[in-house]
Amino acid sequence: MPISNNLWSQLTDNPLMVLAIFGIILMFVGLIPKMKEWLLTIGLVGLLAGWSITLLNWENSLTATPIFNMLTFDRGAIVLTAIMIATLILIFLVTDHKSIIEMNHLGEYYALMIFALIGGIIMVSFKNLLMLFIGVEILSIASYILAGFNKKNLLSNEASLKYFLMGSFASGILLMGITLVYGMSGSFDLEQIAAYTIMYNIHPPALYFVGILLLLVAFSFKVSAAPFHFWAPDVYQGAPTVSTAFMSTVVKTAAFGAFFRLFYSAFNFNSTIWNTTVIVIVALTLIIPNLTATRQTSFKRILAYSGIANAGFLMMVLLQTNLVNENGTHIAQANMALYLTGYVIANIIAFAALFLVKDATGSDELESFKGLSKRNPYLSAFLTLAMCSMAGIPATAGFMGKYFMISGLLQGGHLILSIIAVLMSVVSLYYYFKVIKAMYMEEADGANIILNPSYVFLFIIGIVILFAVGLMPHYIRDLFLM
Amino acid sequence: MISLLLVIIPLFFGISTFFVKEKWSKIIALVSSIISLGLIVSGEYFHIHPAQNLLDFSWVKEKNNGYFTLLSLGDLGLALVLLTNLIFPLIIIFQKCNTIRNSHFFFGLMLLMQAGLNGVFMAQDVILFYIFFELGLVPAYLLVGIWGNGEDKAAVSFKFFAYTMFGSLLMLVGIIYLIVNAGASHQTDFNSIYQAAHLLTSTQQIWISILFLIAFFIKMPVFPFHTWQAKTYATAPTSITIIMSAIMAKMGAYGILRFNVQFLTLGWTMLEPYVIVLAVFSLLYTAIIAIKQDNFKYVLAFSSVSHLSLILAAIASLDLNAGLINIPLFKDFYGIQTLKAIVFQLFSHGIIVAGLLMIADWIEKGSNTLDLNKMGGFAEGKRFLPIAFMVMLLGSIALPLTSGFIGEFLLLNAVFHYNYWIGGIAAISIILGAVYMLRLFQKSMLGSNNGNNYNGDLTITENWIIIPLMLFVIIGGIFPNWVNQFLF
Repeated sequence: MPISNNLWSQLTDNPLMVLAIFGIILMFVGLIPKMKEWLLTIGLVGLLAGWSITLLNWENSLTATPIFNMLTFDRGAIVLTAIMIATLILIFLVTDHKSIIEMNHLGEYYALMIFALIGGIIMVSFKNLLMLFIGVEILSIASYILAGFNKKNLLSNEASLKYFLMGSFASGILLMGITLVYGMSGSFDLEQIAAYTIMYNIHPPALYFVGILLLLVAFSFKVSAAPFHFWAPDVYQGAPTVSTAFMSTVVKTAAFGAFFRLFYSAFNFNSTIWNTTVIVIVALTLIIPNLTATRQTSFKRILAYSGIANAGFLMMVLLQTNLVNENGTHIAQANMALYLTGYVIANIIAFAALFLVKDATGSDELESFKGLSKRNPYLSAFLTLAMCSMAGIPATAGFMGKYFMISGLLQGGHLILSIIAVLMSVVSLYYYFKVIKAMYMEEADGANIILNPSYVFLFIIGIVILFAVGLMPHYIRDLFLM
Repeated sequence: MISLLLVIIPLFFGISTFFVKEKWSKIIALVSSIISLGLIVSGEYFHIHPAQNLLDFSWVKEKNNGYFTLLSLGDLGLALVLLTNLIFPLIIIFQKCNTIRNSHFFFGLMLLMQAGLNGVFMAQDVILFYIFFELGLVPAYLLVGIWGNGEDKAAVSFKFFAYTMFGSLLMLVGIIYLIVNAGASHQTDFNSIYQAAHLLTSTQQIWISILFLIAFFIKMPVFPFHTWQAKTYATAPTSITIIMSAIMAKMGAYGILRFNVQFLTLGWTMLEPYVIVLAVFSLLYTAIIAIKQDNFKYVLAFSSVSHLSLILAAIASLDLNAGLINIPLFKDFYGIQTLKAIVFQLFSHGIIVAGLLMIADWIEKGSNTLDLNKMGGFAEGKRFLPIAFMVMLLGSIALPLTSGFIGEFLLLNAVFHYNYWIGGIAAISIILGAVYMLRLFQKSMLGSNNGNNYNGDLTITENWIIIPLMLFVIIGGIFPNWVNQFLF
């Protein structure tokens, strides 16, 4: 194969190269003070280019071949990549605000988010455990810096340090798990590991089992599933709001993508031996954060706990790895992608609203949302719809996500777990509706909040997606099928 | 197509009302509700002279599964859709614009509720049913929380919301359980669900029935799930209380008939004895509580629970063994006599409670109180109010020649046929009903003045709101069969 042809295909087969180039451009343009207004545009152009490349490969992804046996951009990877890039585009729109444009090191801020995104894309498309580890590290190290980007703020520093310590700890466990799995199966390759799993289907060697459990624990850390969730609220609250939005959407999508990919393609054949552990983790992740969130007074912290609670719902996908629809296609990945779409969009709307309110009032407490319906009826209407979606009110994406997850659980026969999930959804109504109550039913004076065109665009696109997924879930889900 | 329009029109006008000036909002809401009324009247015409394709709305569901009905006007839901669309124009006229802030939001949310309520009674698909079930709920939460009376309105409306949502989510588990069992393609239309449900074993049916029953008991509400209701009815703006008690409460009865009786027949026959005992207990318990209440609206709230408990008792006494429903249409059902009576009473109770709540509101506006101990002698010097109150009240206590009598008599008859003892005990409720309703009339209208004055009578508009309701109570009592052809 001629080199030139190879170079072109490296640029267009997957979005990694294009994104990396734009990341580096952003870092250097950031050094020129006069070019500061152009950073956002350059970033958006890069992301849109990456997104188009991803979408152009949509059809090819069904017959994707591995790249050097390291990465495979199959349908599952393409779907999650598209979701992550689209999410980052929306997050970039949130940064179109004077308090961010005036920030120091703006170029690095955008560049770090794009680098983290690259790590995320590697995580959702890995075929080799080495690539998984590299992806996790690229994503994590960029995220540590993003969490501490507000370097004169003590809370932000604390968040960064906590995130770093916990993240490195989890990475250590991940490495240990990879080592044990490698030691028993003799390969880093997912297919080879899957072959080994089939061979020792009934009685896997003890070390292999320990390896799987260590991987489970490490990923539970990464996706902040209880009982490994304790770092998340502090980190989410301390980090700058945009970084928190990034962590709770893009990072979470990447972590779940990798989590699912590993367990679905490598360990699916002995799922019975780790299913019980997953059931316990899911039950805890549903109960603990939902109950804790009801006592919170800060909206940002509520969103952090809601992110943990949603991780519980998302982890249900690991119990559905064997489900097929009437055509014999596996549906777990499509269920996860549908849930993630709804979760991510509602979350970004919520964080954008929080960002605006915090900028106007200087506080992220629920107090500062009081009377918002008077000050900006549109903003409060958008936030209300987002909260309805998070709470799983029908006709929104959140409902359909929960519906397919619970439907999958019941197909697998987990009736008790689905009743726990439903009861905890009732509990979650309490804290999601707290903010609606504050906006509409309580009075307070405050500064007017003005929405600039980027925000209006972001909110309208977000609401349209929420309702599109909520009203036509089958069409959307069929797109995601592998 | 009429069924689709009945959902789309309130939805469209409801959303557009958010964006208009406040002074136009009431007119737009009124136009929308009158269009809906016109639609349902033409729907009645096509119902009596069948032309099914005009009433149903079909849609292609998934890629390969072809067309099937999503919405259908007729069968069990017809009476309730008619009730919804009859009551909405009246309460939109009834709701005064100048007493509420941001009336465009108020009327917009009200129309969204109308879309949800119409949809619930017409849905032919379980997911659609659930979506409409909730679409009525979120606006209700906001309407009570924002425009309610009293300091604790936010807490009261959240209690209402959480209670109902708790029930609905349990119902959702039941619905998903049925869908999962509906074959590999997981069809969600009523026909597939019906077939799937009838294949379940009796143990499965009982457990799923209980999930549904909790949801619908909360919605109706029935003892022991009624604790949210009295406070919510008193806190909500009266027009919303009317929607809740006249229409939303009927969603519970409709759901029980649809899911428990029709789909989970086996489970329902097993649970019948327990439900009927619970219903009769609830009937008497809430009637006795109503006698002791001092708040006008609380009396009406508890009387509403009591009446709905009787309807529940009658549903539980349906003789399903004599002719198991083997076609998913209620028309072909053996126990049609009782079923006709249930539908008639659902409609009649909706009309009567709407009238009584309007009267309660006018009395409150006139005398600034709802406390029965501060009322007295309000009948003096008024021509129309006492008459309207008396007609509605007699309908409520089931005096012969009122619509309430037809309904209650047939329902009690059904309970009697189920078991003489239970029927005898349930009949006591007629006496208790007379006691609390006449006490209400006596304390407010008769006697001497106890502090608060109420001068002036109903305005002409108010007269014309209550007259159609009074006419129904009387015509329904004299020509029940003629009325019933429009209902079932």
